[in-house]
Amino acid sequence: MAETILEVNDLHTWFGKKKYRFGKRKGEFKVYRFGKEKGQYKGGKVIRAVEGLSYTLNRGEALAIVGESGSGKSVGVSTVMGLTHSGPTTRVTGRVTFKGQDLLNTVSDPKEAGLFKKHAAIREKEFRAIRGDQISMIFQDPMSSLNPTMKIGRQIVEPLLWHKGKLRQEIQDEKKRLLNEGGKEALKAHRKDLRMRNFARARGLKLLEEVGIPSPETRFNNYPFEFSGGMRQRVMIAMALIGDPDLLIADEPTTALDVTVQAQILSIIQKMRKRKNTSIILITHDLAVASSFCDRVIVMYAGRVMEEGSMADFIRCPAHPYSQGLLNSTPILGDERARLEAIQGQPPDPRNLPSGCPFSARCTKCMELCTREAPPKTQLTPGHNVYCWLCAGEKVQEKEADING
Amino acid sequence: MFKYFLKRLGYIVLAVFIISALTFGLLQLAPGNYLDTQRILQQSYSSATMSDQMRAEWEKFYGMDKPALQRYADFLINAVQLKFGPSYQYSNQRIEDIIARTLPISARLAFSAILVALVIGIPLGIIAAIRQNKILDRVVVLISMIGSSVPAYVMAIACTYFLGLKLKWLPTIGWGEPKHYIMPIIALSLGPIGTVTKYTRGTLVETLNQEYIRVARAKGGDFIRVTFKHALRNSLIPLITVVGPMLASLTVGTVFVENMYAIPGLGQYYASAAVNRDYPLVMATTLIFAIMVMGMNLLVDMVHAFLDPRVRVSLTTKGGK
Repeated sequence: MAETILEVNDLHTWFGKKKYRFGKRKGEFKVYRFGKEKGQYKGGKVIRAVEGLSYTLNRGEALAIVGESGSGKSVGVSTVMGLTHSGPTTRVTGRVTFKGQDLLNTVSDPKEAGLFKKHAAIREKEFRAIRGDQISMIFQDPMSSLNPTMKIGRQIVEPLLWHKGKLRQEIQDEKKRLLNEGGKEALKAHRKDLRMRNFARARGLKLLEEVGIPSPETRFNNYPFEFSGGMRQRVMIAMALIGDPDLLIADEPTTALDVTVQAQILSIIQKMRKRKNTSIILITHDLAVASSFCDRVIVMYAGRVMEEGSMADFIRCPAHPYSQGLLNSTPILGDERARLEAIQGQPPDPRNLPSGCPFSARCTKCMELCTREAPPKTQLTPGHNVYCWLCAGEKVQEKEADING
Repeated sequence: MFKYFLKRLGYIVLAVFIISALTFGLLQLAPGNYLDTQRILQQSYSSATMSDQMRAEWEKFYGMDKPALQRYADFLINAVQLKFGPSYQYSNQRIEDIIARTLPISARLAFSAILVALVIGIPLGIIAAIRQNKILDRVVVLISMIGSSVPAYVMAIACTYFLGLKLKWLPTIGWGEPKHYIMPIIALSLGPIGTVTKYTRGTLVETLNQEYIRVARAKGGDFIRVTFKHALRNSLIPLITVVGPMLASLTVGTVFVENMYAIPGLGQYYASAAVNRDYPLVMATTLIFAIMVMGMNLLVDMVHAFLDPRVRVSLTTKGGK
């Protein structure tokens, strides 16, 4: 059994509004308006971006999260990163465990903690120590994700310099190695290289070369505007990988790039993954990319998981009508059809999700039960689960009997 | 970069020349002249009037008898050597001496006011941006709005009344000691404080919403690093473009406050020169202000280029041609 890196359990992320705020107590879903209680959050006031997301990720494994725009993929990972956390207008519940450490309960709004303000600040500090060091993220848009007035070299080495523990350790190791090999003279000769800044710089240069940026020495001192989109995405990758993370979250890393650059970028990430045994969460629209890259897949729709399973199972026999629709709308080389088959309609308004299955309005196989009750989890094969009444078997009869009786 | 600087300097020289010609021409077209107004004034309060002979002598003394073009040529030749000749109203003082004495006072005043505005306005703006939409932010925004909408002379009166008359902390009039600077600076800096605060808040809020700020947080940056290392620099760049011209216009626009506190600054001379048709002084002060405004703009562009690498590159490529 491989080591579990990340475990997400029943994650909910809800967004309120300025007018309608969440209650002060943790996990409370009551709404207040101008301090007056307005009851539980109902439709129309709150965006339920993520509703009950659960998954586990082992070391070295790659997980794809796919789905249409606005299905909660990005919010889901940004909650895991702690970039979205509970506040007056945001509510996060559930459990995120990273290498045995509960992350969600480290990120609490100081206000929410009330008397324990100091405590909350310390916990936030602990999370910061993990963020960018053990978990790092590649963002979607390379054009706006780099600080325009800072040299890229500095931006790349920042995660290292901000988490000094690893760096110190490595410098100590290097010192020992030098001492063993060349004695004190060697140590003296390399004294400059052993300074934290220079050491980090050397690492950054090496990494820039690895991600395929020619003449890294000069490029290191360039500004972002002197790079093209593909080059910037490489810089972003170098930045995410410099801390040797255990978990790399790639939020649509290739969406803004053209196809040839896409392939290069993905192969860089793949290479790194192989060598360092990094776990990866890849968020993408592109099923072709996901299937070539990932071991497992989660299909999300309207903030909910529709289907999850190993990539092979999913491609061979997608069970959920939504998954089938997604696969049908993927172009295949050599396909002679004039038009791709698209799923009819639009995703539902996240403020006003229908009761029952969120996909029911667009589903061609929709039954009466689907519009009333949310489908239960059904296991098809070990690890391959689907949330659909069609696959629920006898549960359908039970439920219908329940309703009628 | 240097080439670009020289080019801009060339433009400034050209612009100053054109401004001098325009000002000179306009002054020629303006009705009345210094000697005639003096004559009428004298008639009004004494029986002894300026005789025609005296007038002719004065004219000769000031060089008013020569044709306009020649006078302009003389002016230009002298101006290049920084000689502006005697002032009409202060005939015992040369204009270059007046300016050398008064300009530093006005400039010091304007500079201190801007400095105060930056020292107070930027932190206020930062606080407001960080506590965006919270009560503290609302209070700061309200104060800055009031600050930038109250004119300096109203503020000067309020200062005199409260700090000078009621509390008796500061002298209401007089010049020479540091304490005399305090009230004028308060009066002058209030508007800029409001502007700087509003600007800092606005740009910082915008910058904090940028994607690269999220990235910096994802890298594990703490509040201080993210706000000050990543956001602040980018949000202060637009501020520089406001502060430079503000400084120039403040040096010119201290007339009211200088009058109110009887400060021997340039603003006072400028106003009285225009009223009394003291043409040489008008010419000299106009040119100085023109040079200051343009110089400030050049300085702003240089600082801008220094802070923003993108601008630096665009300037060098344009300037290189």
